[in-house]
Amino acid sequence: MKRILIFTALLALLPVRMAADSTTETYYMLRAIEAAKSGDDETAINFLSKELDANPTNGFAHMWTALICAQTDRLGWAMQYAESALKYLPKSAKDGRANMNILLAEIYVDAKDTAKAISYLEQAAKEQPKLISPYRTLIRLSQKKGDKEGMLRYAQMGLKQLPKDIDMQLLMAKSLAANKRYDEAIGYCDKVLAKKDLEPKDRSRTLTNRASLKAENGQPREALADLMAGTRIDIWDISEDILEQLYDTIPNELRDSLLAAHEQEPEKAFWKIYLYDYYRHNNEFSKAVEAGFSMLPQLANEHIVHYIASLLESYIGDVELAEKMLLKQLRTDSTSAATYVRLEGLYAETGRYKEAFAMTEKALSFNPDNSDKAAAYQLRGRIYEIQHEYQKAIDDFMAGMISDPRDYGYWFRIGKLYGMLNEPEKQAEAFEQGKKAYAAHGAELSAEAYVTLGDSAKAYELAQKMIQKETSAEDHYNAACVYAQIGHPAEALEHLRKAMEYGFRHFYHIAWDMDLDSLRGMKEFDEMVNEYKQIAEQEKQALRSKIDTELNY
Amino acid sequence: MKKIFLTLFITLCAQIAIAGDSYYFQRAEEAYQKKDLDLCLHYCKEGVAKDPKDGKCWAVIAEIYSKREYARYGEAMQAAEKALATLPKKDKVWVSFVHGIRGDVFYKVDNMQASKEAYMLSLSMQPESTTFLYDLADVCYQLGEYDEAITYFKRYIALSPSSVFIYGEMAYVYYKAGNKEEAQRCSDLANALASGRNCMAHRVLSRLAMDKADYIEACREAARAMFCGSTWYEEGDTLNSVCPELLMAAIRTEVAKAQKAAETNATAAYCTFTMQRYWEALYYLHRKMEQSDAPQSVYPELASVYERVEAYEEAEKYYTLALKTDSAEHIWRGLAQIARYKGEFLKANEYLRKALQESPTEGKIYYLIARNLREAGLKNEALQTMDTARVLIEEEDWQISILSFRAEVYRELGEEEKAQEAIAEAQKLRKPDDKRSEFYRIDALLGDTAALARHAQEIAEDKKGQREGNWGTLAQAYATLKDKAHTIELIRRDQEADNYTVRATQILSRYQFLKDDPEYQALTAQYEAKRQDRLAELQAQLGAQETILNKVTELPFTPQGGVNRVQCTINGLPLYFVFDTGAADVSISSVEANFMLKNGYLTDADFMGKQNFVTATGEIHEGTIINLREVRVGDVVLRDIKASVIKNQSAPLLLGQSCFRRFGTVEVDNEAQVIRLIAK
Repeated sequence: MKRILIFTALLALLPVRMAADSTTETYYMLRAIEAAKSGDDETAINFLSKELDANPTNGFAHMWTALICAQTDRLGWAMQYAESALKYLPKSAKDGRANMNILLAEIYVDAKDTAKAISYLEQAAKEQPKLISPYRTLIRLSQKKGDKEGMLRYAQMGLKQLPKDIDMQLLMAKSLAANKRYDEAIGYCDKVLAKKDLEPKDRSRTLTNRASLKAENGQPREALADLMAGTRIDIWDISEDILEQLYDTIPNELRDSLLAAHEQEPEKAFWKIYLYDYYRHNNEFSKAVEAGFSMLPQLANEHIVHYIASLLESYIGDVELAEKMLLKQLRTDSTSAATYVRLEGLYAETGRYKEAFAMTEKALSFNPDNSDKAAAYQLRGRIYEIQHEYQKAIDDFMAGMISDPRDYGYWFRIGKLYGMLNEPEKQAEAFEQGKKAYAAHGAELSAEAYVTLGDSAKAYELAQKMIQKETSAEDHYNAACVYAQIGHPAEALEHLRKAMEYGFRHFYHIAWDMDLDSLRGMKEFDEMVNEYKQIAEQEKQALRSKIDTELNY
Repeated sequence: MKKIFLTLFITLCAQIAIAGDSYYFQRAEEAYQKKDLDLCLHYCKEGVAKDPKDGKCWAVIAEIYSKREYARYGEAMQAAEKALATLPKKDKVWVSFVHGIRGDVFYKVDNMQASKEAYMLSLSMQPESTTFLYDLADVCYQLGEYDEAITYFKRYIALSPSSVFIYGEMAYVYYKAGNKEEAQRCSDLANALASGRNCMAHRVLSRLAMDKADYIEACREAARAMFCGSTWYEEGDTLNSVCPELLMAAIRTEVAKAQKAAETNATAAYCTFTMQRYWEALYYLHRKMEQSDAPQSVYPELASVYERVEAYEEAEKYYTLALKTDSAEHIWRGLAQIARYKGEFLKANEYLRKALQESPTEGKIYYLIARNLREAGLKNEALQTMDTARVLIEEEDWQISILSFRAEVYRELGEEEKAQEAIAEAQKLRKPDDKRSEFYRIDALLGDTAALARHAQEIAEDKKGQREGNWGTLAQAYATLKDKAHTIELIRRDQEADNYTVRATQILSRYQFLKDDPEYQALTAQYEAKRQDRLAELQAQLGAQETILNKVTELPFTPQGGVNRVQCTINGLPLYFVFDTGAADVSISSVEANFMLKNGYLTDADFMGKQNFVTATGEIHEGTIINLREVRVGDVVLRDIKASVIKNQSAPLLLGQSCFRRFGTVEVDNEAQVIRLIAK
């Protein structure tokens, strides 16, 4: 339960109570509200229960009790009192009734019971049609369910009640777009933009929304114009989809617009963000890093630091600078589990295992989120694997899967390790579990899984599929690993070269990755790696001097 | 579903005015409040002797006899009938209470229909009693009447909305009824209302995941359930046989969430012990001991697990430590077992006799004494003692073991007729297709090798059985036959199942025929090497808790008011300290110390040197020395740092030498504003 939401609702209800029937203004009610306003929930509850003893059908007392119970995490009671409030609140107390319905809906959203949540929200909308939050949540829940018609239905309902509300109009545009009715959706944005006295922030977000719709509708140039105009006023969360569309359709125009805007307004960090993203997407990693560094003084955001460090490590090969950045980040926030995990990864890659182990411990001690926790275990598992401590590696890979069940692909790696431990029964069991997990998630086995299972033909087929699509450096590298393991060295070398051409500079990883063992000792392999190491060194030096001198990091 | 017995009696006593109650009833009530049930019973009996119409006394007699520790169900029912006959009909509270007792008794003797009827009578008199609603829901569940159970649970929740655990119970009933959708819905709701801490809901989610063969999710949920409920659940049994490593990984990740709580480590120890992962159990027990307010309470557990992994010195150390605060029977028994495995059979019996002083009627102690007498060559005395054990022990499984013991010893004494008598007696206890391991030795004594081969097959097919150590029991049976090949093979399997006790095969007479066998010796050496490795690994794990991992640790500081402030974490609480190499100790003000004490960052066990360091009002005396269990300075984790508590409320927090002397060099880099701690 989102405490803030409940608290906001609580405050919002104050005027409701004040406007209430005089019979609700009893001594106990007034004392309870006084206590609630001063944050003394227990006293408030005490007075409310006295009120309810004296007057069990006082809907307002039920309502206040529900709100305070929700506020204090007594959700079972909150649910019960919200229900009874709905029973006893007078029909005229529309705000209160709507809020009780919203409270119940929030509980059921948390309980993943979408049907019940929707039913309460619909009721809330009926009780108080002028409240936007039920429509917003209804549209969000419908979108989550993939119910595009539902989105539209709720948007229409909301718009009927709140025809002039900008949020509602934008929700309508979003719902229409979900139904591929782009022209109408854009029309709603136009209506908003045509309003007189539109606040700059509303103009900005509407332009950004329209940009998104236009990009989806195959109008990239118009989308770019809106995006630039909107962003010039204010920065909004841009959906990655717009940028993806623009990268694919008009990359040069996008870049030029961004560079021009950056030149005009160098003080605005978001132009740097866009440029950074553009270069990253376009595999121009040195430029991406430069843009990244240049925005750090304005935006010392943990995620940005992580991204730049990862680019430095993977595509520039500058491990030292990446480490320096992450350590500096830790000085800003010494409890960031995510930063410790990144450092763990860096140390694991570069063979500094003792330090990597220490980082694992640190990361785990600062309550990481599920994916970081999984990464912390998996990275340590990989070190154990390299150190031939297979059982420990298995334990960590399993802990990784438990932390983030989406990583079920590790079953095959675990199976492989059981093979190393000469435990065929456990190996078979792990493979079986892996197959079941893929089936349970409706996924096809990966090329790596087929390699592990010894089905080279299928692995070859899937590796080819992997590189038929638009491919990244990682895709080529992964394909190279598959080919190397199933006895296709020529293809393996070809795709390893492509990976490095596309900017793959993980030389430490290449050095220890057991998947490439069959290529080691081959002249072409050594020459290729050395060739790109030299290229990387030059790129690194050039970038370093810029970062040291111009960006003064 | 677990039956929850809620004692209404105390509530009743609290609710009902005592005016008009008999003297005996009032005395009984006082005894009940003090939990002296025998005394309570005594007064009630006196009460009904004086006045056979004292319905309340009859009711209390019924209540006490119906408890599992008394289990005198027949007498409980008689007392309940008398109570019903004498209590005024209009006294619905007491009458419904007595019907509830009848319901409990019927439930305990497995007469669910009668139990339901009794509870329904109770509920009809007190329709708003959540106790009776729960009882009825439970009994309906036992009868397979799931819809009705759900109805009662719904009524319960309407009366007591804070009891969100009921949603978990409902989820379980839905699951049993095959309504997986509702089971999922109720589990999610239960977790939403209880911030994800409803253990029954997690159990149901684990089962639902198992049904989909999604073992990752199943283990995750099962481990969550175990840590919510601080116990082991049957979902763990299934998962432990299907995917033990994954379940262990799930347990580890749950521990990682709350490493500092003694309770978390206790649960982890319990789970790993149940999974027969004794080394891990030892690790968690040590962690529990470190964090516990009463570390001595962990000694017996530690000792018994050390005993299990044959680390006898450690086991003896902890049993001896435990004896300082507790002379419970199980500690003497533990010491006896160690003496037995050292080959000191008579010393073992001395310990067992001490155990007998604590529990004079415990037949199993006589059994153990008899076994030791036999090993010490005192076979006739062994038989006599075993006779005493036989009289005192009622359980049938034990009776079979006693009879096989008798048969073996009589055969060793050359008294074949008596041996056959014992075997025949044991055979009478055998049921058709009896798979009990107690019969393995009887089959060996009968020379029935085909039966033994069948048992081997049964164990192999039953994964769970392998983990319970049945290979070892079968090895004993083959050892009785002096069948070297089979015995060694079964010892090997027992080892693989991590359940082997090497000392037993080295010390006990039954296995002496193996002593010079090179294959047995190799096997034993291999086992011992593995065990030593595990022991060293455990010691390394426990010793590695103080971690100065990096050669150089940089600790950023902030200059403020002429001093340098650094951030440290004390027992998990982040605090800013003044870096002061001139100070001898780490010192904290009484404000912080009180805060830490009140919020669980410090425990009573952390106070050193003085006995009366905290006043009755919770204030800490000036000069109190405390032990900081964990000090995190930058990347470094230091254990057990001495610190003084300064009474002055505005005293700065000083980071002094008791912390820094753990390092080789300490450098202050004023330019970079970091303190460099260089390891020795």
